[in-house]
Amino acid sequence: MAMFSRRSKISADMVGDSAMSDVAFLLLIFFIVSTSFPEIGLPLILPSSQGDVKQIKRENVIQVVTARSGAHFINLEMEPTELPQIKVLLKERLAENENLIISIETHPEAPYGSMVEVLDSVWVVYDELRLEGIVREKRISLKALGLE
Amino acid sequence: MNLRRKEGSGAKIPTSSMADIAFLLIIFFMVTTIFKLEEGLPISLPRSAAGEKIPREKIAHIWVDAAGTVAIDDLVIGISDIEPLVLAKLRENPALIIAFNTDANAPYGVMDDAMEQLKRANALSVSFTTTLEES
Repeated sequence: MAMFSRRSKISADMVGDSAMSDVAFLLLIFFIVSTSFPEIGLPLILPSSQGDVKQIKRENVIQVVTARSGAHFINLEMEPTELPQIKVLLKERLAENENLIISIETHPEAPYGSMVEVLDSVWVVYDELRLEGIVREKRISLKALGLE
Repeated sequence: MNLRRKEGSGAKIPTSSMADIAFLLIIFFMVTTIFKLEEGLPISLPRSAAGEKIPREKIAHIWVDAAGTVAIDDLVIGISDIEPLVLAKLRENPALIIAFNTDANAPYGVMDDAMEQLKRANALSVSFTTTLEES
């Protein structure tokens, strides 16, 4: 009888050990499944096609135009502007004017990537301003340049 | 007497891990089926420094590759087919976000036409999927 009770104790311990690795695997798989990579994107609300056309004051709009080559121009200036300068300029204009609308206008044959480049810079500028305590509602408009 | 009891306690060990094996199989099949849902078109996404996490369950993807080919749900479609397809999806889920998985070298004109279709379908919430730059 004494021998039996000792054996049953040992076997009870062994069951716990063998299930341990299964539990570890289950936890591992659970965390792999639950931490599915979230998608990263730049969200935007498009204007409704039924909406009214509003007149906007010239000083409340800043145009960032992307040419077919992928070069960026601000307010149809003759010389292209590099992205870091665009950021500096947008930041200044946004800080002084809370109604500023950023109009991103892209040539239809320009690569999509150069439009996203601008959109990304605009997001970075809004983020930087928010960190400095200047909260601005995102007013972004996307447009394709007419082929004339 | 002793021999019989030993056999009895030995048989209990494999049944206890049986449930774990069943769970492992269930989870294995769950995982493999989720990954096969959507393949899309071969693209290289544009990179960005900013960006927001977008909940996957609200997303419907529109794929546009470098040549300007448009696809929804693994179906290659024409641009004018976007409006009816998105309208149907929007009826099922009014909070839908249309995510553009577009190649960085795709011509912008295709995107403009696609967004015009979305406006007509009244699907105004869009997102441009990017890969985050490590900085």
